Amino acid sequence: MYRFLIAAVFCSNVTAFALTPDEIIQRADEIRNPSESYLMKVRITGNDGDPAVFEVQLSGNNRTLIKTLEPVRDRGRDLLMLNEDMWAYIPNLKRAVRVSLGQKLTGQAANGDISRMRWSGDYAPSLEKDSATDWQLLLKATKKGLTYEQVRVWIQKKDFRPLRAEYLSLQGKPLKLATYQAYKPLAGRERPSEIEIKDAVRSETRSLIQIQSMEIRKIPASAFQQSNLGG
Amino acid sequence: MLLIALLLVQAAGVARAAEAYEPTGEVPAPRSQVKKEKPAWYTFIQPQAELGYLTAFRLLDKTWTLRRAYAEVALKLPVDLSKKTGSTLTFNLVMKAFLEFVDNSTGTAYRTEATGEFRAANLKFQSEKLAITVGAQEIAWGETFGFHIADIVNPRDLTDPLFNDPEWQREAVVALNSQLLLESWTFQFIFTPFTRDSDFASPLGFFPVAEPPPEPTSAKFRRFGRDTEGGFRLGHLFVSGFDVNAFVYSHRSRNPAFQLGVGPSGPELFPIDLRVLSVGMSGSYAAGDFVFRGDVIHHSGIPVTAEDLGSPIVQNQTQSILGIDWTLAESQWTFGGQYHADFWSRGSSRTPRGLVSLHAISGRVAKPLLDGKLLPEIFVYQGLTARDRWIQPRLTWFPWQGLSFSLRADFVEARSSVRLEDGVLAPLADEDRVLFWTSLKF
Repeated sequence: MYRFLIAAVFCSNVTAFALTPDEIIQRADEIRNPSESYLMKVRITGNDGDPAVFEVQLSGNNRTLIKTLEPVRDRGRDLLMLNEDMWAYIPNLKRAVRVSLGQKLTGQAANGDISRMRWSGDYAPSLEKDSATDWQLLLKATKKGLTYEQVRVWIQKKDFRPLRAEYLSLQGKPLKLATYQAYKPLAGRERPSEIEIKDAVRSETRSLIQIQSMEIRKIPASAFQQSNLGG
Repeated sequence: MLLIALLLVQAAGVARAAEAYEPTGEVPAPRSQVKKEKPAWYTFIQPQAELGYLTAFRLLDKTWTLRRAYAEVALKLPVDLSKKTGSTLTFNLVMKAFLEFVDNSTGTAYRTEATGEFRAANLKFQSEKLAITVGAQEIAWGETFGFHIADIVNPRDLTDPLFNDPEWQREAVVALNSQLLLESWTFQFIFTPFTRDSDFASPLGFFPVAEPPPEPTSAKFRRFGRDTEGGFRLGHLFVSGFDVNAFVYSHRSRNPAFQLGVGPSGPELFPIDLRVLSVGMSGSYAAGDFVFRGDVIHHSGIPVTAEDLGSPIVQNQTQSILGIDWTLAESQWTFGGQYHADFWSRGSSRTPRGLVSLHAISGRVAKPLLDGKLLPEIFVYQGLTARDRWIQPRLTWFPWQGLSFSLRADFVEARSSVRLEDGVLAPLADEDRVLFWTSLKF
């Protein structure tokens, strides 16, 4: 029995040490959200303004449909992101309008904070520090048009939970700081249900992204078409 | 210089904060308490409602030209057909009721006129690659703003041309709207068996526009062949991000054209209704903070009011708008600029006598303030080859939830000058006005 336990501990450590930065990020992504298409309800609370509630439908890492549920004044103003292209459905025009990626959803939370929930595929990771409890990795964007050029993330070793992240500019200056917290069962496993985002410059400026529900669901590809928005 | 100074200040701030920052992981308390979950039935039918009131004041004769209250109710009933494929069937219903306060001839009192209409009453089937909508609906085409030249599928209510929000101008039609939606290709086929008449204001105040004569039921069936509209659109999203659509649509004329005739109450202007074939393209491309957009459309056989108000002239007309938008990500300032070019034959399509062109520019500036609760914006259209100028400042305030107050003005200058001819906006030259709009959304 002892031998078995020792072997198991040894093997698990070997596995952990043998993981490449890409594998660590993939495992962390699996914690953050399901690999299948899914739907989640997200509430964003900021320092100022009304809280906003969105229904977010995601398929892969390149197709996201964000429907605004609250505030009521913005209801119907849906946002579709396909790769690095974005369209906003304007209710009084009743059509989707092409917009730049700079268009904001609300407060401190950039569109990318809820529309791109995976790091793997978007960023190339490299290991910066390897402590007893966590890995510190630097992720550099491999695509143009991402909200953040670089991200520094801390991943807990024992369960691959993302702990926190620093969103950096191209020059490496911190722009925002995110904390992954309130882990609870969501779509079949323990996931962070809250992401707190602080402005790196004005630390009193912050947003709290609360994932109120998450459900794995087959979402037809036709839902992610700009000519099919608003229906 | 100012921009550079702002960037330097911002960079210094970032550097200071980076030095001072140490992640704490402390959890902030949300400012607002989490609301109670809505009941299941509410989530299921997704009811929405809006109450509003519009009033417009014409500056020339200092009269109220519009007093309109409205109520809108919208419901959605989605049904999941298959969890495996994600197919859904959704019933959409949008009803709108209006109460107009119309001046009596004395000008001292007013009477009320109540009307209502379905803005949508349709069934939508959606599967992996198909989206089919059957019933009353609005179908929007085009990319540009201000003048929606490619938005030709629905007839229009142009009785108030200055009120150019498509949501109000478009008239819902019963149609089959089928879309094949592939990865980067889309194919849309539209068939409208029974169309509606567009509504026009008289370009000459002293001749009223004739109402369409009431028709016996049998006549309505005859209109099935004559008035059927239809067409298709093919779209492709290139890997580069260039989104382009080409379309063809056969429809009844949408532009106001009239012929003088004798109605039951004397001379009246009769709207001219001819079949028009429209062919066009729309495109958009985003690069960083910039979005490029354009629409071009060619109409064959479009009727135009003759100078003597006799038989209309039938022309071919090409309209195009090319535009660029610039949105500043941090401040959310939006600047938009467009170039408009219209070309049409001077004579009729059968006896063309040269080409006439009209060139103009337009711009839009908007900047949300107070976390989006205050939205000042301005739209300006300026003719280059004709005396057209339309300035439309607008201020919208969202003080609480779905409550909004909007104040906007329309200043039109389009009369001929020494240098330039009358513009296309000439019939509206005396319509300068201020419009106040309040609405409450639930």
